[in-house]
Amino acid sequence: MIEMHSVVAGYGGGDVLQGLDLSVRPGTITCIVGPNGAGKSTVLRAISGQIHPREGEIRLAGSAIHGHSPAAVISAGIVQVPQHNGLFADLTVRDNMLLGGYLIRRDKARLRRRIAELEEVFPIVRERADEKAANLSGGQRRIVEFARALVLEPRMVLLDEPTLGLDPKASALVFDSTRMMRDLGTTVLMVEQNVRFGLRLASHGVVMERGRVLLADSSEALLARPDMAAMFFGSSAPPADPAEPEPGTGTGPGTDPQREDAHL
Amino acid sequence: MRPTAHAPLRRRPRLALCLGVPLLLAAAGCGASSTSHAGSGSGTITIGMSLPLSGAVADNSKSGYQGYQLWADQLNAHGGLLGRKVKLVVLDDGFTQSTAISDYNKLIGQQHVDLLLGTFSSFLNLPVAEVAERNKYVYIEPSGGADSIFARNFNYLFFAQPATTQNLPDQFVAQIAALPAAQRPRTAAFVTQDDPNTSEATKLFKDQLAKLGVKSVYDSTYAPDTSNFDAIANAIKQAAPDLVVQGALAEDGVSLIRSFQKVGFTPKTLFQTNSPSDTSYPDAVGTRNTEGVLTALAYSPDAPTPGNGAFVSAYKAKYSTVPSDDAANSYTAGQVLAAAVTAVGRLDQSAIADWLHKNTVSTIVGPLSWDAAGKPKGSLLLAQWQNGKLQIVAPAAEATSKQIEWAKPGWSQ
Amino acid sequence: MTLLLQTLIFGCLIGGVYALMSSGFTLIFGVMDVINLAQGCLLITGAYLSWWMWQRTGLDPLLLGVLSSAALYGIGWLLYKGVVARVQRVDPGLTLVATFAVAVAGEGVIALVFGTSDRSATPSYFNTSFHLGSLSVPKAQLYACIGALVVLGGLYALLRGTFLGRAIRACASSRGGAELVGIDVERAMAQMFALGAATTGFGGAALSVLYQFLPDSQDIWIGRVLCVVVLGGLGSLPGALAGAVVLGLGEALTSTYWDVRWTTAVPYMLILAILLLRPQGLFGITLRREGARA
Repeated sequence: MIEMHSVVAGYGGGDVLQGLDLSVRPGTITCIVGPNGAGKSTVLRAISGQIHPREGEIRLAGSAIHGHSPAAVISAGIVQVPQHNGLFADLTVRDNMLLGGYLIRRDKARLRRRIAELEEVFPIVRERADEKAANLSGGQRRIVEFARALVLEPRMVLLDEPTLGLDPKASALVFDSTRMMRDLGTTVLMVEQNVRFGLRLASHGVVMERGRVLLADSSEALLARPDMAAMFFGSSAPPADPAEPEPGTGTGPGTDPQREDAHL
Repeated sequence: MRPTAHAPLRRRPRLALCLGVPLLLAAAGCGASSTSHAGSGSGTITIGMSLPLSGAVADNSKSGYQGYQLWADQLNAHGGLLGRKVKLVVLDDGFTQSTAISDYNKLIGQQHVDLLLGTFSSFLNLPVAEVAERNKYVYIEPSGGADSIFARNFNYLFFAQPATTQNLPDQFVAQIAALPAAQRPRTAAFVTQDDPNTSEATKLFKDQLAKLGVKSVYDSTYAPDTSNFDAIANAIKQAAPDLVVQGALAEDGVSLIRSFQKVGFTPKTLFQTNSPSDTSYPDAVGTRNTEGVLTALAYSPDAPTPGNGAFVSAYKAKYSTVPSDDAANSYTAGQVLAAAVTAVGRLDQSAIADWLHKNTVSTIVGPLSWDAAGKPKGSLLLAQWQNGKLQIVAPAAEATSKQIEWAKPGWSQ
Repeated sequence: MTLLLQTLIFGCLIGGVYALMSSGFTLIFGVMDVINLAQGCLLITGAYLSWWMWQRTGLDPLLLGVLSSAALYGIGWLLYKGVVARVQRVDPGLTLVATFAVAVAGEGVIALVFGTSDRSATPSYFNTSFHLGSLSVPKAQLYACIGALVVLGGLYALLRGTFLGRAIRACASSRGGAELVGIDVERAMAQMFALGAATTGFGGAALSVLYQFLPDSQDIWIGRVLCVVVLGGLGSLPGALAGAVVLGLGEALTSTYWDVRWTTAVPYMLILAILLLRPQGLFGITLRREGARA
């Protein structure tokens, strides 16, 4: 679905991506992992149009989207959920949802229908509709961000470290919600610091280092590789740990009865 | 008063010209002393001034400037001063003291003007007079009448109006005194802008009227940038005085009346300084509402003083409007300067000053003479709006109307 | 007692007018973090435009304020694109200096075009009042006050209930986030600024009826606007209304009960007081986050 060829991109100072090739298949969850500074978030920003590559191409289903404005990329069907400040803190949940549909704001019927549909899938959106986004816990905010990202029925969603700052329970919600998005037909490309979490969630993985792709394979294959273990889990830790808490306790993404400690 | 006629240069025989010019130059050169400053001999005589052409009093200063211009034009049309054309060098101080001071310093120190003429309002003339005095330039000013200006006994300072602020209340107070005690106002409100011109005068009113048994029930001073008079008008209304005396400077007189209209209060007698003599006053308050308003004037276009009629016609012809107080005052200042310079025969500042101290000048506001501090020894006119016209009601010798109305009609639309 | 009631009436009415004058500044500062020192100049421009149209057509100046608002929207747009946006890219701190320069230059232009004489618009109600017993309610102030509430209410509704308002608040909350939902941030900012400028159209119209004005009247007005905005809590529209009423009452009470001479100093005394006692203003939030107010 997404093809990136030899992309060179960066911010003012220097190039972060040094000739990157990446491929994302439709209907999958692909997770990019790698050490800090590898350029993982930069990949997402290059796709979403926040930065424009100096060299190279980015194509969505064959059409070039590199160099386009963020609004154009959204219109093409790619929505990004950023690491920070995805939601507008001082606006209500409802206002946030409405803004998710900014580009279809004139089609009021469609917008209303979409939000109603998403309220079914993510009940928190209806339940906390009139509250300021800042009053929600970190995990709840992420859910609203996901719901908002889906208002425009995008073909693809970019998630930038969705579990950042979340405790295991909230992370579990994120896990389930991400699978839910994929089940609804959206391709997911995500960046995750927590390698084990990310590769268990995703169907495909990409390992980056210093602005380039080192490895790209199915997540199973990656998890099974011994050098992965050495890079990320420490040489003594086994690739799969049965003691790890299983994600997906069956409650599905929904209201968090206790307000987690605020991650402002 | 026209300066004594000089035969224009072109009528003199050429020979005399060839001989005369170098002689004049030599004579002027020999006669030059430290007090005559620049400009000896031939060429235009430059007369420097700084005026508040922009800023809060721009309206008033415009007509004053026109008075100066008319005077200079007439002077040049009749042969100029000492046979030379005069040129006005004008700077704009925006009604700021510091700018006025530096303007006059510039005119004297850098541009070396031959003569000076004064600026407008006591506010500006107060500091500028000091500059002129320090540089020993004759300073005839048409518009600063506050007593503080004359308290310094400057030798070179002369006021081109018949009297100063010190005498502003005289005619009005005399009229009150002439009334039987039962008919005098019992209470009065005093309200003035914070300006040396108006606040001094208002205090004099209060003190002198107190001696006649008029009790003060309201007394306040407002900042020059006050724009909303509703609260003041209301407070005056609550005090319910018979008489209101306002030390107004320009549009504040109009603003106070508008606020009186809003709160629905009409004083039985209303005296305002300055504003009622503005040409824009009847339009601003409504002609019917001017009825009965009293003010003090240095000048009236209808006064039968020598040369006044001709001045008014010439001003009307040139500017399509009747000359205001300020226009006449500046014209007078010009007349005084020209008379003195002509009589002395040369641009010698201290000789000019001496002559003025010893002589009387006939002007469009009557004969002017000064004491040692530059204060004129005359009296102002008391005027009242009657039937849409500003009439002189005192002193009797110059009155155009014999009656004073003591009861002001209520405001109308 | 009548004196007190009358003073309170004056204070509240003029407070409403001050709120109207300050609404544009509140918006621009609250949402865009731009301190627009040219706001006073825009107000006076609005006053001159309304006055000029009233002179030519005889139509009610307050209604003509609507037309002035349209013109000032355009001027605001140009000001944003031409000056503010550029300076903000270089160094946001310079915006203060840049807008101040615009104010000074603007004053000169106004003086050139309209002259330096005192002006005021005098429709039939400019010096009349409604009378309730012995109390007077000046008509012009009342109409301007009503207009103020309408404009403020309209602005509030726009910010809360329309997509433009939401987009603008989103930009204030997080520019990056706004981009990611497809908002054209630069355009939204320009619209916000232009809207803030447009309010001075009606505010200027009110000014033209209530006061005599000159090109340099902007000095006293920017002082009052700053006072209102600081008092109310920077960026809060309800706060601006509250701050304005406090200022209006402060001026009226000072004039009547203390000393008239201090009346024009009241805005500055209130600024000092509020900065010492409660710097965030009456309605402001204590923490400055990368965040929206308004």
